[in-house]
Amino acid sequence: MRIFENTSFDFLSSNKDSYLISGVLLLVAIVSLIYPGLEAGIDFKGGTEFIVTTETAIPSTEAASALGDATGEIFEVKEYGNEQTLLIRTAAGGDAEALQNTVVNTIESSFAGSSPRVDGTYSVGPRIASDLKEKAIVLVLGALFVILLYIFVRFDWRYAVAAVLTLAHDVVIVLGLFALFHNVTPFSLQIDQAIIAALLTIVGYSINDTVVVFDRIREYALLFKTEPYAETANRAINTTLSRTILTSGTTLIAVLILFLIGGEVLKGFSLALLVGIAIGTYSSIFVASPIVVALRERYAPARRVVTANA
Amino acid sequence: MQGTGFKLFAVGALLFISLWQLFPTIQNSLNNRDLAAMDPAEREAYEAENADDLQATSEEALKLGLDLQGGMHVTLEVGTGALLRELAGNRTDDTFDAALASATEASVTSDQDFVTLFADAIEDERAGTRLARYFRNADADITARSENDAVIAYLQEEVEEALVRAEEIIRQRIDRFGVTEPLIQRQGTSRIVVELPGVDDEDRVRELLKGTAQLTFHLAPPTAEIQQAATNLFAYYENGGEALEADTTATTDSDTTATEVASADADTADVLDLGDITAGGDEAAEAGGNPLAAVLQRIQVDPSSNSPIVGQVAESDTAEVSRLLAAPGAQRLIPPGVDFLFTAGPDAGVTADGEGVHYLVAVNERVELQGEVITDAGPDFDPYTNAPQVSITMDGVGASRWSQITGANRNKPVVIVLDNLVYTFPTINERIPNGRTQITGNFSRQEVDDIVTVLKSGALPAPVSIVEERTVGPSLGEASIRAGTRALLVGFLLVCVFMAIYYRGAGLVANVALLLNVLFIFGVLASFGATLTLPGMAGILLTIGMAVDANVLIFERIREEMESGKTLKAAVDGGFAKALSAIADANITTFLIGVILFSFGVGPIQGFAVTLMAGILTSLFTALVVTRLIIDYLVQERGVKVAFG
Repeated sequence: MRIFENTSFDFLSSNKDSYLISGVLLLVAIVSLIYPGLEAGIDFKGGTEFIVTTETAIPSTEAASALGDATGEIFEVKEYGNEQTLLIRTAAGGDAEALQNTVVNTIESSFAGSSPRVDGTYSVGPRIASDLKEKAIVLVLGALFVILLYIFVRFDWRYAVAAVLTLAHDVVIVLGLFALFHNVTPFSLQIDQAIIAALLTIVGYSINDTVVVFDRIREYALLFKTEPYAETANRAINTTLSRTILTSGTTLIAVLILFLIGGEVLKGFSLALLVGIAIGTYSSIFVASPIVVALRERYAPARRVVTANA
Repeated sequence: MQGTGFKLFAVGALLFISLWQLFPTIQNSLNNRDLAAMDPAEREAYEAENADDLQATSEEALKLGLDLQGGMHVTLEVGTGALLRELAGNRTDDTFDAALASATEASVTSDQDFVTLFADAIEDERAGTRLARYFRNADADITARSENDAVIAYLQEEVEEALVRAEEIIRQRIDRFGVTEPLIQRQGTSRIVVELPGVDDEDRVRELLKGTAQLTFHLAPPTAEIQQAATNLFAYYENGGEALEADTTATTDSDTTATEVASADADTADVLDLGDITAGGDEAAEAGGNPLAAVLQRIQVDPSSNSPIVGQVAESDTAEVSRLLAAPGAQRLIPPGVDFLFTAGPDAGVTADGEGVHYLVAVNERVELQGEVITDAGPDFDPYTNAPQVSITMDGVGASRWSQITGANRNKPVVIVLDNLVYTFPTINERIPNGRTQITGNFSRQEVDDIVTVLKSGALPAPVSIVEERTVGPSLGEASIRAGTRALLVGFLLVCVFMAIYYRGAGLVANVALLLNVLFIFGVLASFGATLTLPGMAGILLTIGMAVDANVLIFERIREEMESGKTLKAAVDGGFAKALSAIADANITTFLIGVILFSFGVGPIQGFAVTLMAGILTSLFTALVVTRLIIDYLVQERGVKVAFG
């Protein structure tokens, strides 16, 4: 069985279309990042979170207002997997024990017969939160830098620039998605350590795809020296299309399974991976290569005897 | 076919090692299953007999992260500020206080250690101040003439020592708690990380970790004085908290209808209806007028009983009472040298809602005897009531002082305070000459054990606060394991099915390689003693999806080669060779990401990074070596026309 064999789509002249799509996505993402903006999880903002199981189903909005009335703090309550489990979050710091007792007592007294039981707590003090936030930023920037370096060494600077732009494009769109929908989804889309790990994984994965295409482009550039670069790139993409779609396909299957039945804890994480891998595949084909071609045409390498690494 | 023998050997060796490493894990889960099936008596007997074996097996088994097996993760921070204050003793002044406050604020965002921040803050507050003004220590050569640098170095050393001692003490406390494989580790310049798998009694653990174990013995002020102060306080809040002008000849027993308490210690378990506290007929003539009366129920005591009790409070109201008592106007009404403290436990009973009620007790601030004199502590039982109690022994100095105190204060209460909470306030019946005493007070067996633990492991050098904590209850952990395992199985199956359909014969070969791949990943994890977390399982699933990639690259190349007319064998050789560079490049970058995540992440993220890295290595191996072996074998030895789809 084969799909996408011997295709000869003209990827590169559909430049305009793909630039348009990417442009729109990026614009929406950037606007979303400004408003409503990203919601930081308690990892990075500090606060306390409880997972509470109850005998009876309690609507989350009612629970939030009951808790808010009782304490004067803002509580965010979401369903966690099923209607008898709630994720209760607040930016309030302080003694986790006292807060826990307050939460349990309030729910018990406001909702008869609920007999709430706390199944999990997570509490982060302000110092640790700011530490983690710093680390996360360093991590992401560091990873991008390392990748840049690696591609630069393996290929050349045009490829490196194209790779980093593509990765930035992917990361911004995924974050934009989180910003746009965090109030809408029934599960949490807050940015915490797991999401940062997902972003880094997306970076690693997207670069995979991109490298495979780059590798082909380079190989064909050597083989078909007289062909215009754009055509070579096109040919390379077409021949790797099958592989790119397949690998993305199987990985997406795996991540989709994770999202659907992998449990509540990993919902945000697996959604990030899902979107990120899809966007990463798209960008490897429609964003990375056109950039390489454009850079190459503008800054053509000096004519010289062909060496192994262009 | 070069190197086939070697390749076969490599595969065989890896397989063997993986199974060997995984054996304890399998055995452990079988053990657990068997144990669960036995009835309690049988189980205890079996556990006693085979304790060592069971322990060894469970230690060598693949460790599950806290998010899968449940447990607590706590990050403690040693109160360096408080330590500095203690070191300064009574040399502190306003500059010191201000500098300490601003250093504490700065420490939230700064990376520098606290001592440096404090030194800078002092400089900011009052330039040119010599630190030796506040800190002296003859043993460490810190005198009035010591330079700031020397003092800073000395302070940093003290902080370091305190951290080491704190870690030791915490380790001791945890050891006595009886957790299997706890993790206690220093982090940075002032933090200690504690991980307790399988524990979910958060409150108990928090108390155990935070308690500074300052045990002190106090006497109480005369009952009449206490009652007068209490009356004044209630009157103060009756009038909305304004300062009382003239003499406070407030009302006495006659016009109140509050409860009478016959004996000093509480063994009557009253059932309080919280409604009584607000509407009850105390000094508050109209309902809702007196904020103090709303939360604190006054208890009138018979002056001859020498009871130090002021009133009783429901647990959730204790914070409010503290706040009201801390108001400057209220503080003025409390006699100097007297403190009002709550009892540690719900000694006064329970409310109708089941909430604990604590006594508010008046205590002389002056410390009659320090906890340091205690040489030993142990659990004991009251010979008459069999109630659990703590039995303590004192050293010579302590014993003679104790003898003095008990001799001079017969029929008066002695209040035993631990970490600013009153544990018990028994009346002294007779002189105790030998320094052996029991601390009694409605303790459960568990509470007695905890008190003994805290007393024996010693006082923490500085107060410790919990800055981060994560608790996963067992049901949450189980849900995660179930979800993770299910996702892994389903994902694996789907990918296998897909490979079989798309690549046919070769796809089946790839599936065998995939199976070995997963086995090897677990083997690698087990051999490195790594911990499996939920993100770790996600990492394995991701690896399964990506492992296909290497195979795809190879098979696609083989197809291309075949199309360009080469024979099957030549196509296979060519395919593997040409795909190599692309495979290497692609996997190296993901591996690099894994390295970065591993070095900077903590806990579950590290688990993810580990499985990602292990997965890449194993999938490279299985795709290049295992798949090759099988296909070569089929093509060359058996002449099978392996279909590549």
